[in-house]
Amino acid sequence: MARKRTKRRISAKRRRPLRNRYGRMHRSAFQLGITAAKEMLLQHEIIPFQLMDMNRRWNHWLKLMKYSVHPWSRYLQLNRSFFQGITHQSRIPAPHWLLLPTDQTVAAIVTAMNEETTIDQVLNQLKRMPLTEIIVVVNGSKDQTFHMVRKHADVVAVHFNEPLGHDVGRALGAKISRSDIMLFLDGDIPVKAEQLIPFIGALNGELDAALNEMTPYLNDFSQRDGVTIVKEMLNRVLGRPDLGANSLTAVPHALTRRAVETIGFENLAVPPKAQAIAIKKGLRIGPAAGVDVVASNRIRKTNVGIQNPVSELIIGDHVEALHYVFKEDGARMSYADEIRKRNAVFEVNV
Amino acid sequence: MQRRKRRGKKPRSALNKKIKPIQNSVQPHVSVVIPAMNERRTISRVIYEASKVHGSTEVIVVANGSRDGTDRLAAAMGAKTLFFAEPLGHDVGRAIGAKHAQGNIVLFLDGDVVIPAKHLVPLVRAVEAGADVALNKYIGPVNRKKVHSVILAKHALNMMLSRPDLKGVSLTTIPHAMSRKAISMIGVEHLTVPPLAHSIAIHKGLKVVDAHYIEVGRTNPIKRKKRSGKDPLESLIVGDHLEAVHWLASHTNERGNFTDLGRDRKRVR
Repeated sequence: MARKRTKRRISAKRRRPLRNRYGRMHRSAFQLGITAAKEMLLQHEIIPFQLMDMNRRWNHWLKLMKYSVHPWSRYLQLNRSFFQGITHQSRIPAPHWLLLPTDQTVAAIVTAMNEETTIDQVLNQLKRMPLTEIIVVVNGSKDQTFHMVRKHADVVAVHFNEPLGHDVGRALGAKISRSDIMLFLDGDIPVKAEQLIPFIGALNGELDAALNEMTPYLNDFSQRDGVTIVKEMLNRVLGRPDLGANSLTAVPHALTRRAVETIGFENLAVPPKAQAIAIKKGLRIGPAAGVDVVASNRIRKTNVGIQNPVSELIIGDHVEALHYVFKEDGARMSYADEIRKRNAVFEVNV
Repeated sequence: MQRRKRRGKKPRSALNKKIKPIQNSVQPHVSVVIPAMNERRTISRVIYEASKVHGSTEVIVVANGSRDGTDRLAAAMGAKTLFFAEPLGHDVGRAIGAKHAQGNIVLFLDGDVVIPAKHLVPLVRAVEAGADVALNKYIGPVNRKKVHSVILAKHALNMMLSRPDLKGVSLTTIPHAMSRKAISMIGVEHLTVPPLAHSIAIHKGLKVVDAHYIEVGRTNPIKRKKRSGKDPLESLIVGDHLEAVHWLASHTNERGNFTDLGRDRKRVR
């Protein structure tokens, strides 16, 4: 009994001020929900158009509250409070919606090739947010992927009979999109909408390119595969050791329109090259959040083993990225060797 | 300047004096190349161990920029000594030594690392057994999350050369041995940039093997860096690796001959 009481007293003391501060924000968000529901005359259900309206009110409120986006867990809780307010007023259950931390238009670009088992989950997560566009590039699919995408209203489906090759779908999707922020995903890795929010949020003035933070999921160096090693090497030689092995090769990641146009659409098809261009041209590139996609990556014939075709492709992409930088900065980039007298070898006669 | 007496101890030079001078072979089977710059403390022992790797050996010391009598010590030890008043810079000594080497097999050492002959013999044996380039298996500390840039670059280069089996094994690390054929195919001038030589050897299909593990960590150049500021040697070696990738890209294609897995790039023009 005595032990329990001491424990509780300490934790209550610590938490009280925090709870009060959060409490005020939560009450305010709840109130905002009530007001929004009243003014929007919500009836039987929330339609996407109304969700956009809510998103506008929500962002206006965030600005009024001078809300700092971090941590994202608090953002998600406030979002829940808002929808509790909506439900309280209108009696419409709205448990799964997620508003965006930005006023800008946001597109999700999904590439899919034979992903009929996962594409529905991917799209259902995306539809929880008021995205301006959802673009699915289906290529070389021999299964029902395209028909399943077509069943979703408000999803733009692009279809190619032949496989376009790795990452080409992303570049195409980016070219089709008209949005300010583009979120890139794969059709085989369903990522929860909650985990995507930070990528969108980071592009709201903080970054131009938001990468998936893979560092926490990496083993010791001696256990890593070649792809991880070349990713880290590219960042290191470009003067960004802080990026670790984070790469545009990995999904999810997000780019602003400015970033996409600076990099060039066709270069998005070779993600490491796009990354090198982004760093060289001074775009703000950095990690937004960590989503463990390694564990959920589908095992295919082509991505298993030490020297599998996909890893060779990605290593080749990195050679191509370095080749781009060599053209700009020369063979040694900024790593000169003036102290070395190479010509001494030719001067010596035997 | 007054020299302090080391009472009760043997004079410092006795460490070197004890060692008997060697006899360079006239028609050597193995040539040992030792670049040295101010390595008075170790050079005699390095020469002595080097001379024992094979019955018919010549030892070549490339003394450059030495102000401590390294060249005189080497000559007194009976090694063939090449003298350069000015420092040649990193790894240039190796190339110059290789140019003078007459043996069928050339073993490359450093003047400041004493390695017992029994650890050098496996490298020579590997070349005798058919390898063109026999490397040290030592790759430095890798059981950690963040590794030194040089280690990272070595690993990445091997990946780009499609030799993941080599991990971080590299021609940048001494000691290593190579055949005469390997040297002429690589081109002696390319030995001044070891990662470049490494890439050329692998790209030209020479047999490059990791032959023997020799711990050189404590004396490794990357450990000898200055306490403060950016390490100039680190950026030199990283630059060497970039130069090697550049060579690879210009002798293959911009992707280093790696697959594009049928990317339909024209779709996005």
